[in-house]
Amino acid sequence: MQTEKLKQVFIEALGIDKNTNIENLEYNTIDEWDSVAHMNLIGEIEDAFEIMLDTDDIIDMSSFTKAKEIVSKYLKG
Amino acid sequence: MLSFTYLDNIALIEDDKSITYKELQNLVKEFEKNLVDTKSIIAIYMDTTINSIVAYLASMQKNYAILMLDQTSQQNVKLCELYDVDYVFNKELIKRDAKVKKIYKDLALLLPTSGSTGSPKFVRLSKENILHNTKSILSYLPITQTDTTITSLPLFYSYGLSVLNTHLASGATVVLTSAPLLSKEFWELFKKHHITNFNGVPYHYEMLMKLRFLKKEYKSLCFLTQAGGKLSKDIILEFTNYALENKKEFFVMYGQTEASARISYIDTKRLLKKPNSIGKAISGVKLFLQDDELIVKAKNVMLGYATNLDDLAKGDENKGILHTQDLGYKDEDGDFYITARASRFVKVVGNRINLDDIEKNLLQNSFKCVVVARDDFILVLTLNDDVSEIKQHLVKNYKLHHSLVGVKQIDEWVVKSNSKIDYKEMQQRYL
Repeated sequence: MQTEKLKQVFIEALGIDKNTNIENLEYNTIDEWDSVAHMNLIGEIEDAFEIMLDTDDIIDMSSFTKAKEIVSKYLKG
Repeated sequence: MLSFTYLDNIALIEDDKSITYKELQNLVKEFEKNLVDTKSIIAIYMDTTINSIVAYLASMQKNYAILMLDQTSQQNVKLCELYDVDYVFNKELIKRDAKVKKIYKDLALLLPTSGSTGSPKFVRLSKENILHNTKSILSYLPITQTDTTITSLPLFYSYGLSVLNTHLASGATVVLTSAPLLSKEFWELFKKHHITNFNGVPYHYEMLMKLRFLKKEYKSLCFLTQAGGKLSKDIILEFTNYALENKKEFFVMYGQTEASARISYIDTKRLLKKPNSIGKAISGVKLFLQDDELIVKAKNVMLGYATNLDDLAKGDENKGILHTQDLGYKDEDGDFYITARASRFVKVVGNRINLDDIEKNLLQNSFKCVVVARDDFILVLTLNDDVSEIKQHLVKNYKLHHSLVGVKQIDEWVVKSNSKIDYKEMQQRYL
């Protein structure tokens, strides 16, 4: 799993500082990661990893850790 | 209002609690006992709970005037004072020390016009307005006593309230939740309760597209309705085709709070040919054009507006006629189309310019913008770092002198409580 690549996507899609503790990031806990930003983030993740996420996974992606788990599931698949 | 037919059906579900129509009726009767008989004003902090709905139904039964409040608004205390309400229902009923005042006998409901700032304006509706519109809606939406819907819209919003009213009138079930569309909880409830009817504004449908809703199979789903603004033609066609292929129905509807909720609708089959149309007037409503403006003549047209306590004594000022301020036309089949908001036209150096047209044109060129104007100046707002490209595009395509157009990058759109773009607020803030 390319954790660094995913971190980079988060930084760019959410427009957050690169020194943010991304590993602990959770949905709706910071202004930068609201529902609108979430959709943007999904698009960026899909582009970066060339995958197409399922509805349940889009809704389920409530933290960086969860995102890591979901993306790696697709990469294996 | 409360002549429920299917008393043993489940009326409302909230978390682990579900109540039948019989139980709902009893709760309403109990609630009524707390209310004096003289016509009074009750402010309801309307959330998606059984308690708020009971307060709403009981106040309707009592012929009270209900001031519907968005429970998340910061202005509610101020509004309760402004209208000197006799009761406040905010999770529990509180009697206020209010003065005796004159309230028009038929005034039943004060619905907020979806503004976010300033002093909000309310639409004054009668019980007849609501009942008439509920009946009209039920003549075209196939809601039955076996249906189940979920609160995807707030209940203080006319569209959301009309969904509640029509389902209760049909003996159907309403699942109450405040969970947003983009949450696991919402979709868990959707599956668990086998939702048959889904209702949303353009924002919901844009989200559903992004959620790849159309690729999922929701066996229980029977029909979807869309109202509350113009949804893009592409998305309308996606949902129309989805409905036709999966034996579901999709209705696009047009309405205004000023007309209780609904004015016209178009069904799935006609949408396929006319995705841009708002269809024909619903039964009990006359819709016609006057100087290109859509005019409504119907029993669901509001009594008038209210901005202060004195307005509550006023009678029926509109007398069944509503100037929608929407400009449009009618085709040879009698289907209506909306082309613009009358208030979205400005005159710049003598030329009538449609701000929506500019917005559309910019969008076609991949600039997502909001366009506002004042007198002789057009301001284009963008979230992206494309200010100079937009300005170049406008000056070139609209032959506007560069001093008449401004482009400004902002952090976020200002939206109303119903997720619609708040043009008025953005104009005031940035112009």
